[in-house]
Amino acid sequence: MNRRAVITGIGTVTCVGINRDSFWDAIINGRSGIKRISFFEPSQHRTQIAGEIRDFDPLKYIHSKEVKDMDRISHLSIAATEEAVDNAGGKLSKDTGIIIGTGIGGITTDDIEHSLYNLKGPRYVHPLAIPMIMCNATACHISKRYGLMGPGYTVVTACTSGTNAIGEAYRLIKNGYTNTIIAGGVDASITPGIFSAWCAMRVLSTMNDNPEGACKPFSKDRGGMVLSEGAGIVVIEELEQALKRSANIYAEIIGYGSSYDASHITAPNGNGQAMAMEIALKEANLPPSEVDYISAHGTGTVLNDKIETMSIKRVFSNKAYSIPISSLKSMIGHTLGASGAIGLIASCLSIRDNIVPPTINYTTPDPECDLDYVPNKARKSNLNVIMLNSFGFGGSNGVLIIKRFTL
Amino acid sequence: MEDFDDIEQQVRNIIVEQLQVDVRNVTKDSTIDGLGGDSLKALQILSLFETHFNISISDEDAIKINSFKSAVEVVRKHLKK
Repeated sequence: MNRRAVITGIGTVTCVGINRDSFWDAIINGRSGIKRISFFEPSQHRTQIAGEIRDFDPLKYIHSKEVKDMDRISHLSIAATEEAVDNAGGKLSKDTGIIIGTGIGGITTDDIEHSLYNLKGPRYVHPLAIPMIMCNATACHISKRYGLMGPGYTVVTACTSGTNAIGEAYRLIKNGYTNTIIAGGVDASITPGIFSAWCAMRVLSTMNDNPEGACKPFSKDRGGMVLSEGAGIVVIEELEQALKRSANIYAEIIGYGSSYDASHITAPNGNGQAMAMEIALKEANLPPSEVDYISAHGTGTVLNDKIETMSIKRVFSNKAYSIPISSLKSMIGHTLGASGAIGLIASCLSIRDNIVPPTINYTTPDPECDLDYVPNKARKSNLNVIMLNSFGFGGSNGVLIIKRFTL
Repeated sequence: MEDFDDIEQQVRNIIVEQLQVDVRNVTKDSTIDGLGGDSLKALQILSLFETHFNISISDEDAIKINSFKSAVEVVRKHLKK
């Protein structure tokens, strides 16, 4: 069976823009969406900055009767799905699948309901708290909204969730299980409880006096990641179907690699990462020299950026030095389970416009991170093949490869 | 037998509880690794120091905590502040 999978619709909600166009405008102009936290009073936390989506009104997408019965992850992913489906421009058939990834599910609701329980008692807990918190709630709402009954599941692999979701969707289409899948990732976890936990882990940047400059992937003076929220959704279709209806094709998915590190619950490991990149290249049937750009995981922690650089060198040898590599997280922070999906959306637009997004806030070269990170300014470049990396807590690695579509 | 002052005893108890080791194994020369811990255990020990002693430990000092001695030093430094 020689079935091919292409991306025909994209939609995203992030702290730099609540739709595809505003997102892309911010990315290619190197604008950060990181600000002082407004969702709760942050002054007692070590870190007081995050990537909040502030101008988002769920009522624009969801009926007022339903809005209160959904967690924020459902609000964000429904908005991104609406945009992606509209962008794909076709009527979705009943057998369309849904595979959404999320790192921690409806944690905003979880945080609120626990507070209510502690402050007021069990009678005050929302009767729909469970179906709001559960990780697959989002898929249920999307399925109901469009009447979709195709294959689906929810992927929960921390910061690799969105990438794994899209990779699994690609394989279901490639192997003939269905012809269309709505896939992507979402997380919204800027809540006081979860934020305290991130602070206690000491992995967040504490550059509170300069939020927009706080996330500095690959720069020697990087001081940690910035927590963020967002959703990224793509419509993936089997090629013949997309051609038959003359759909706009952003790119073709040609490879996917997934692996575990078998080492540490939080620290990354070069072996596992390199293995995922190699599996993806093998499936794509491409030598490393064909990759024109790597959309890095690039969180901005000391360890991540160093290990990711090592893994890229291991897979690409000397070619590593001539491939542009950049991190969107320098601008939008770390959207956890959404990050791979949002990264893939940016990569689709990179192929469309032949533009490599920058790594902003890059100020000081690090001898341990000595590749071309596209510092501070976007770059025009002919792009045919893009690799996207996602690495998550738990030692989970996901890598996607997309290619400019040609028949 | 080594003598432990009050602060040392409290630090020792926190280490014992986190690493689930016999208190006699925690000497002044013990390291977190040597007691079977790792960076994640060190992080939890650090977190308990902050709440137990009501202190706030900077990142700079946090990464120094890899042994009984360094733990006591960091705790004393921040208790003085």
